[in-house]
Amino acid sequence: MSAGGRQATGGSGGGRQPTGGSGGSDAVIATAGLTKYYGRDRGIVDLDLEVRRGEAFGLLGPNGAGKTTTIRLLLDLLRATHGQATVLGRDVRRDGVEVRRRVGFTPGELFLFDKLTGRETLRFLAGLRGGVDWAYVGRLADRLEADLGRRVGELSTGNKRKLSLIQAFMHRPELLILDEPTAGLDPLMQNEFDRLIDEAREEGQTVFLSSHVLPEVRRLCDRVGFVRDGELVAVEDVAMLLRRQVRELDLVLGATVPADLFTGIPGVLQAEIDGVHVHLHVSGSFDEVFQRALPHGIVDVSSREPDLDEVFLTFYGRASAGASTEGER
Amino acid sequence: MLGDLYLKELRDQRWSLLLWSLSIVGYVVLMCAVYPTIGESQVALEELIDSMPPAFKNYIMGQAGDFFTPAGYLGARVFALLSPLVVLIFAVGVGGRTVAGEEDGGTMGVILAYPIARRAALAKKYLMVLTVTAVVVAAHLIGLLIGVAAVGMDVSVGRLLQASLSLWLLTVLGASLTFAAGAAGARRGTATAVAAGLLLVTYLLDTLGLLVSGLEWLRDLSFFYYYGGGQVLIRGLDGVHVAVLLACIAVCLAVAFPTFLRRDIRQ
Repeated sequence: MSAGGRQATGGSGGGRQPTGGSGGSDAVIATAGLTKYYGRDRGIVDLDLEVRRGEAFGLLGPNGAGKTTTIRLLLDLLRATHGQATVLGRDVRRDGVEVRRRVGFTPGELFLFDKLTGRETLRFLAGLRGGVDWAYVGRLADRLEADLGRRVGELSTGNKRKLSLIQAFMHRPELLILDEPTAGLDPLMQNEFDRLIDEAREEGQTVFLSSHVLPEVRRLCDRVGFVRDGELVAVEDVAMLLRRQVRELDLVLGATVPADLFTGIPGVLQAEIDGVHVHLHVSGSFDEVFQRALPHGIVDVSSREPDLDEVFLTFYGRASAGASTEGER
Repeated sequence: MLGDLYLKELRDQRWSLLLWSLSIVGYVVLMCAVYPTIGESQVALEELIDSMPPAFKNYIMGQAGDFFTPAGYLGARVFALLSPLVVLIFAVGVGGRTVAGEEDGGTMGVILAYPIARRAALAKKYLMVLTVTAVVVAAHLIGLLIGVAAVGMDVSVGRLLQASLSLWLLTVLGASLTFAAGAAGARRGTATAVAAGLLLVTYLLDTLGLLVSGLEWLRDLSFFYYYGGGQVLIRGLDGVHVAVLLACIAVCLAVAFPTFLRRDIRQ
């Protein structure tokens, strides 16, 4: 798969080899024709994915698109209908224990041992793993302000999420696989999580995360894969995404402005001006828009994040293909 | 303490295990304490049994031989029905919680996302099953030893040990049934229903075989026939019967491991 992005092609995945397993490639995750059906329902179909060492890759798609299925296949919790997957150069099925030793994972659904306290949970999990630096666990807990003394069953979703994040990071794994990692975290803790990801990347750890919200992926990732109805539809550089992304911008200005105030700015695709109220569709930088608006006084600014369907529409000129297909997990 | 899956499994069971063990000691001591009162009504009871239809008489005596000897009494009142029922309820519960329950609760996926092979995880869980069933049956034996000594019943300790071993094998088998059903992918409720159903059916087969002449062969199909009830106290362990129970346990494991290693883990 090339760096710039691609349209996934259909077809059979039988017999193909993942590119990451051979030739000293730096692929940390590589799948070839990876397919999982649940009976007749599709989980993920013919997935060809490559995540490179040291990058942060975001798998983006609505709930039920096949993100969790992909992740659970990589951890050998699910068995592929056909196709192959390697993680860190190892077959996820044959060398699953070795793979999971080098991976940290936080699941999207927070199932934990309700009767244990946070500390007991982490002790148990650290013991299962072996070789965990307990002082580092303590530092992680402090940073995330995790309450380790209470029983997990009594914890809020946010606090369970913190525990789940700590256990994923605690052994400084080469690869972090994070399924909807910030769901349930309050904004302050999301910032701390962002810092954890930044630090992990500085240390050369690879990050593979799934999300159903674009800003998170844009903030944290180098590349993003769009998943729809069990198919990887496209892979994009996030930088490219930002350049091309169209956002709606609403301004309230200090004075009535001429109707042609924003004409001639390359990124402004559409402009509606009604007295002091301005509504713009802007692609790329806001620089020039604000420069022109500033002399008139800016009273209020709001910019709406486009939802996934709109992103899709702008990028690919079509809404999600087969969005009505049922039966995903 | 919590570094290992086996130890965590044991820890999860600790309160349940303690409660069951203490209750079982209490119940067995009580059963022994009642024994002297049986002797007082022996004549009346003997007359009652003699007046029964031959099938029923056969049934009662078939379970225990002589109801009025200490071994016969313990065989009929303790080992024939009540104790297997009590320990099997415990065992079926444990076998169901540890695999099907763990998976229903979503934590099986947490454990198996760690660097532990499925085979090893399942083996550690089974080791826990063997341990806690042994503890419960040991509590049962301790209750017997206390009760027998307190009342002064003349029963061979060796025979009590043999009967306890047979009881443990039946217990392990009961737990193995839910364990295997869970490992094969059944939810906890289904796994429990399958195990309880099988145990009930085979118990009825054993009873029917005892009651109805001509249907004795039905007993060969029953776990409880090979368990032996009170017979072990009177005649000692039967090597073939032990082998059959072990073979049934082996079948459970032969189902549990390959299916669990092959399939998807539920979230």
